[in-house]
Amino acid sequence: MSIALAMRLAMAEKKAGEIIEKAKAEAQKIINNARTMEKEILSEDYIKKLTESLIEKYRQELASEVSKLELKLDEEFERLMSISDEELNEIAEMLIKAIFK
Amino acid sequence: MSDELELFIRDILGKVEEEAREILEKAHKEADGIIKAAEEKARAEAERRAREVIDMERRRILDTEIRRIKGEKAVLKDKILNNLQGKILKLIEEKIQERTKDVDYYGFLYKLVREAVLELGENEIVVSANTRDLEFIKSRNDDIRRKIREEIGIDVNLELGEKINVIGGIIVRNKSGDKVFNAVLDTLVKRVISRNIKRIVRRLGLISQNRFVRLLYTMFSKISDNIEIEASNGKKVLLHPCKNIYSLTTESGRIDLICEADNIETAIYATIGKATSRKIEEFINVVSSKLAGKEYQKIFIAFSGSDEEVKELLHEHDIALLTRKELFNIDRQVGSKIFE
Repeated sequence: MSIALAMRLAMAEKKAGEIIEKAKAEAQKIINNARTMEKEILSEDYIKKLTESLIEKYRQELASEVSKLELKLDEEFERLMSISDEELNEIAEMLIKAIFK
Repeated sequence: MSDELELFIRDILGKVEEEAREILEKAHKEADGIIKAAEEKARAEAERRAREVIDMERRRILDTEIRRIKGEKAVLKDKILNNLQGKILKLIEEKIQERTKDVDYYGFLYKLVREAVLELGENEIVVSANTRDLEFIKSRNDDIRRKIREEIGIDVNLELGEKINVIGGIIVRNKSGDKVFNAVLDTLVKRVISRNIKRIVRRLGLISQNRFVRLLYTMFSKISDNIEIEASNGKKVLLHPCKNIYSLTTESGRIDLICEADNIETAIYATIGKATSRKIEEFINVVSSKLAGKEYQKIFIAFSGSDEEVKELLHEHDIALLTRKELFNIDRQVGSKIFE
């Protein structure tokens, strides 16, 4: 093998090593960034913010739950307010029969 | 040779670059995993904290709200039952005065005296009543004593006691006054209301909305043959035996009962209150989105009836309206004995 060829091979080998090294360094950087982000995500500040936004969301659900409950109870009040004399008389007649049977 | 080497080098470098890409890809995956896991962990922790806060708020708000509403409902219920009690007494008074056929008041007074004798287990009794009833007992004293002797074999000495200010009925004491039999009408009416309270609250619909729907569920599940009824708005409805009954709640509204029969489904909206435009529209929205493409009929049950204005809306959407009267009718036909 000529010296020129041997040098060409050595250079290629060096380049291959550099590519791998660079990739490894880049990979480590990516992992390190992720670890930094992990710390931020798990920080008390972030969790507090997340908690607050969830509380806000659940409060809206709770408000709709309460308004649904109110609607349901409105129906019950509607009934209580709309009992007619005729209906009461009907029950009264039924109970009088029970008294005088 | 040089060309071959160049090709060889290019091939090797290609493979190395591929390996580098894989290294980076793996790193990205690992990084994504780290971030995702952190996000999940943070979310779970935030969720736990938020739920804790909201559960406390929910308990506090709902407890307060429910307690307040229950209190108001109890007051209204009491008013209605007191009103009922007053009505019964007034009706009885009218019936006694008119001597109507359905109330044999004097026969009833005799039965009370006989019951008092049996209850007290005494031969000598003192009967207190209002002026009218004392007069009756005085004028029929011998007859009453004879009848009691014949019917229960007790020789009773019946003495007239004090006049009391009541609509009717009697208070009977033994001679020493330590035993009392109270059968004044006020007390009897209270007693009969208390004995029949379950029946009264159902017939009058003094129940919660949830209970109302549960009772309807029971009634509809007992339909064993087709029943034809005329709805309150004149529409004819054929009720089929239900193979399956379920309910639906969506963001826009609810269907309280869906009765699945052989070829048709019956969608039912049930309210213990009145039929209103808002409720009907809510019903129509849910039915048209959830039962689209199916064969179905629509029934709106409003225990308290409806306002005149909604009848047109019901007609427009081909909805049958069932009120208290029709429910009692179905109950009778089905034999579910829920509203009887």
